[in-house]
Amino acid sequence: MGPAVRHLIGLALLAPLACAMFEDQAGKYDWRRTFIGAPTAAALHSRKPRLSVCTRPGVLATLNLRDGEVWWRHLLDDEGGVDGMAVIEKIGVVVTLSGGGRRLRAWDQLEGALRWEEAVGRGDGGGPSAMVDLVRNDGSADQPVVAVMAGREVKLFAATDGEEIWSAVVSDAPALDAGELGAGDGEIVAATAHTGSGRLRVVSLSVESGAILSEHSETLQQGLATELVIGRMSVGVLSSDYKHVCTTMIKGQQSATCTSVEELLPGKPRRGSLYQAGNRFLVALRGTENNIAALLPASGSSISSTQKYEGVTAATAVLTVDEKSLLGIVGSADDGQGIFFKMVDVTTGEVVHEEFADLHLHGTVGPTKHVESAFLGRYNRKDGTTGFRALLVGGDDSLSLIQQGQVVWSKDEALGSVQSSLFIDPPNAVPGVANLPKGDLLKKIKAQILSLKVQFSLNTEQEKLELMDMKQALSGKNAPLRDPNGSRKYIISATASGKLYALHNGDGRVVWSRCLSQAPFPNHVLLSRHSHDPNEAPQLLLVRLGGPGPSTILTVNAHTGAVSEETVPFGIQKIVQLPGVIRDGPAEQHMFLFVDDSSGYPEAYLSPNLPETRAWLKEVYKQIHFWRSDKGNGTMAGYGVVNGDVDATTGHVQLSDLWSLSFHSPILEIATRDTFDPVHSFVKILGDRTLKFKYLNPNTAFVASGPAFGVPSEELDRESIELTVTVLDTVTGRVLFRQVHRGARGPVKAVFSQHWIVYHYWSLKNQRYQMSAMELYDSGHQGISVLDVMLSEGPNETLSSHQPVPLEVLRSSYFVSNAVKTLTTTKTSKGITTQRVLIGTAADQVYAMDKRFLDPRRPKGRKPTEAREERLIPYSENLYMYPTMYATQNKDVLGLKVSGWCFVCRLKCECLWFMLASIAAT
Amino acid sequence: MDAGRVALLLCLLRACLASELEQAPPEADLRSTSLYGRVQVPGPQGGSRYRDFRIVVHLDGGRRLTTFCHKDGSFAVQGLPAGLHTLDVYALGWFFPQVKVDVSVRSGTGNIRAEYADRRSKLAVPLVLPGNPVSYYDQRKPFNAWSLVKSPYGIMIGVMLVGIFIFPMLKVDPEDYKQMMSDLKGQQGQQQIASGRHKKD
Repeated sequence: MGPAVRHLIGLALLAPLACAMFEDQAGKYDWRRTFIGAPTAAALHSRKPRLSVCTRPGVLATLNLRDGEVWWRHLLDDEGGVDGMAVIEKIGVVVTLSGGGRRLRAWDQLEGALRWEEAVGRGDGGGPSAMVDLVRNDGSADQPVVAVMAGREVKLFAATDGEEIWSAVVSDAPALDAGELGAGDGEIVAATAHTGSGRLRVVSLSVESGAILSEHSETLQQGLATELVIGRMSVGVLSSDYKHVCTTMIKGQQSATCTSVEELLPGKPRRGSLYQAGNRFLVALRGTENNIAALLPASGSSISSTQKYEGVTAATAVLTVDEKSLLGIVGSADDGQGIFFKMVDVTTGEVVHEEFADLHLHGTVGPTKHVESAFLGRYNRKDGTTGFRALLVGGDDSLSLIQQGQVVWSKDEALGSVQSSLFIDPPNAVPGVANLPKGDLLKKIKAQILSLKVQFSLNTEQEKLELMDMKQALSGKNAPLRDPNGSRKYIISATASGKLYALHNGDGRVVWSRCLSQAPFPNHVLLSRHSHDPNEAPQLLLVRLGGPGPSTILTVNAHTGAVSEETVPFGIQKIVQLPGVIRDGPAEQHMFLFVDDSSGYPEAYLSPNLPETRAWLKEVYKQIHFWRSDKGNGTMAGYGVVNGDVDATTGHVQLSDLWSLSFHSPILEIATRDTFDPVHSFVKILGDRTLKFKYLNPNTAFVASGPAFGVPSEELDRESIELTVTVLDTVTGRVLFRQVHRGARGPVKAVFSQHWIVYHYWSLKNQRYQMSAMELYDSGHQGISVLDVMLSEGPNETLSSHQPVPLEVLRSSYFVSNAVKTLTTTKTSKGITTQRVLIGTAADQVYAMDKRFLDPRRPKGRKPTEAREERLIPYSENLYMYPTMYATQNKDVLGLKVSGWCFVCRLKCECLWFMLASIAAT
Repeated sequence: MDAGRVALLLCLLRACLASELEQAPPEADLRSTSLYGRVQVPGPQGGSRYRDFRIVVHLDGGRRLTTFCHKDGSFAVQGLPAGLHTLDVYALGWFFPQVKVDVSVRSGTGNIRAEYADRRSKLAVPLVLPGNPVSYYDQRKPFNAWSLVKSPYGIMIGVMLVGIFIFPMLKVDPEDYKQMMSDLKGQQGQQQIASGRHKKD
């Protein structure tokens, strides 16, 4: 199974160079936004203004139903996200099933504290997961319980304390990939299926004892979609082509009946959903042009005689009101303005309640999206009647509550799934926008008075916030225009839900946003063309990395969000930025090789495929190299371009094998230098006036290999556990340096910048985390003085992979107490400012460690005069993390995944950071 | 405080029950190897005090197990495999030292030993982990009048005050000065006369 990115949570944070700061300075240069992601399940409390949701990235949260404020959120940091959620209002708990159906937890709905936790034993571990809540009478009183499907078993747990009451085996099939649980009158219905073979099994269990009341199996010829729906009397499932709905009775031995729904939506539906509607089912089909839903007939009559609802994209669960079973349906209004919400009586099919809301699911530019799922809630009106409210989740990952035709609140959760970001310069001029805001004198005086009050700590919390708002309003840092220092930027972000944003780096507001039309959505943003003419907008490429062909490449105008699409016949597994640009007047065109290795051997395609780029490649093809790796098998291979001929239609480039290397153990981490890694000086002047020449070959890679991730050390030969780090040349495959850390293993994180490498690993021997620093120097030059270098008589920084130089590698290792999720480094315009290693810790914080603490030349023992002159810090085996040096200050980035986006300003010493959270699962 | 003790007792009771379960062979039920403990931080207890505290066990091999705290700060990490793992408590504003957890199944029992990772001091199981408060910001110094005086502005004001009030007091009227000088000369003459007479004597 290819890696599926399931993304995000969290927050974005932007800061200037980190250093200890006072509390009142927090929020001046940085901002933070928190998200929960798009809900997969939600429960609206029937009496209190609470809303509990679990979301696609694995977050459980409770919100205020009145305004959408998040009261608390937890990232259930288990593999597989949240499999099920149930709110038991009677005892005020939310029960969640997560970690691939392995963890059952109950949370206090109001306070968010854990009530109890149980591990659900799963036998061999495979199979579907599902959960349903119900009430069981234990002889004396009604007891709330939850039933959990764990592969082939169903287990019943008490909701009050998590005690396991019984478990029952419901299937003996070897492979199951779909399952659903339903609660009936004193029984639990478990439906399991294997979608490939169409095998379906339905079992009814007694809630009291777990005894099997009825069971039967079917094999459906149509093939099954993975959604199984349990109705009051029967189990329904959509066929894999969305053309049939098959139902089978829970009790009774009669075989399944399949109803054709083909006539509802001529042509092939893109998507289909089935909803339970009492004794019937509601099928909703989505086509390219229109959407339709229909209530299936109760008996075998034709679909043509049933009620149909045009434009429906989502439906809710059934709610019983005044002995009527009602179901909510939601869709886009006919005129394209807003959405409709209707309540349907499932017995008669009549619409009993209807309202329209002015809700628009689109970005500031671009197409509109539909409501993807809806959750129904009820409330008692003052006149004693029942009112309805619905929580709608849009295709743009927006979350809205509608009630009485009004949008009560709306939240955009798409930024919770940012996958790739890029900083670009904003436009030079925007009509009607000034570079500095015009503030009136009174406002400025008020700001000064407030500032004085804050200075002398005479302020209230409200005044502090007011001052921050006023400063924001009066400063020019939030203007959407270019500034001379390049500090103002747009952050272009592509999200997993197919939405593209331009955020202003000053305050994080959305400058423009755009919904992309069709999945699969791109997950990688590249700068394709930028101009030194400030009036010309940069051009971006949006590609999907890791998908099969054919794929879509989008070209985006970064200032306006205008998009043009191009479909190419290949997939993209690797992007190689070519080392050069083509100048077109004041503009610079960047070039890429898109590598598709889905067939086992890499095929490369030039982008953009223009006469100028083809001519450029023909000229420099001998300098184009790239590599690819097979981490599991521990191999790397290098490739070159054969003759520079590029296919004018497809951009295909002929490749040749250059080298291959086997590491004899899985590759744990690969780190390479940025293509455009700024370096201020290629020499380092030591305290005794001697020189060290940095090894700055851009075609250098760091590879760490060792025991595979997740394999316990007990299962390995203790003596053979070792971590091998290799520095190699990616043009020739030559190993430049190799070191073995005995008794060490992964997980390994590494960062490679300029001539240094820092990596983090676990030392089994010392039972501690360790960080090692490595600096590469070219030791082939002796007796060269500073004056020689100044007069250009010494060597320059040019290196050739084909003429290797003797390498001097300085190394040092340290103990650290923190586990690390990400490692990266700061980058400045000219590479002058001392770098900081940004450590994303397992606590989801980001620590900015001064590179001087990771200098391999830190003197051990007495500090020599030269070391004092160089201000080298004496060596200590422990690297401490000082709380004031956390770049995230007193906040965390829940589910931190990437902190690697650092962007340079024209001001030499300034760099901007953008940290994001996302969860990747395979 | 009493509630805290009761919770700890309950925790110990659960641990005892758990250790009974641990007598069973590990193959019988891997869930039996559970680690119980409690985090403690000063301040008002209860409510959502420990809501955002996360207990993360980094398992040998690289995988992670995450659990959360109950209302009273107690926690239970279930399904610990055999091996040497590290346990961290993550809570913003608090620091908890890393704990090494050794789960042994050599004698067929899930024996758990724990100690702090950076100092070789043993920890009793169930764990009791006290946290220390952490500040992520530099602290501004409180207002201090003496530091104001010592500042360049204070020194400048001081010098000016000396110039305004002390220096005029040092100034002498020219007539008074002449008088003083003449008085001084007169005194000196008398002394010389007196000393000359004395010599002659």
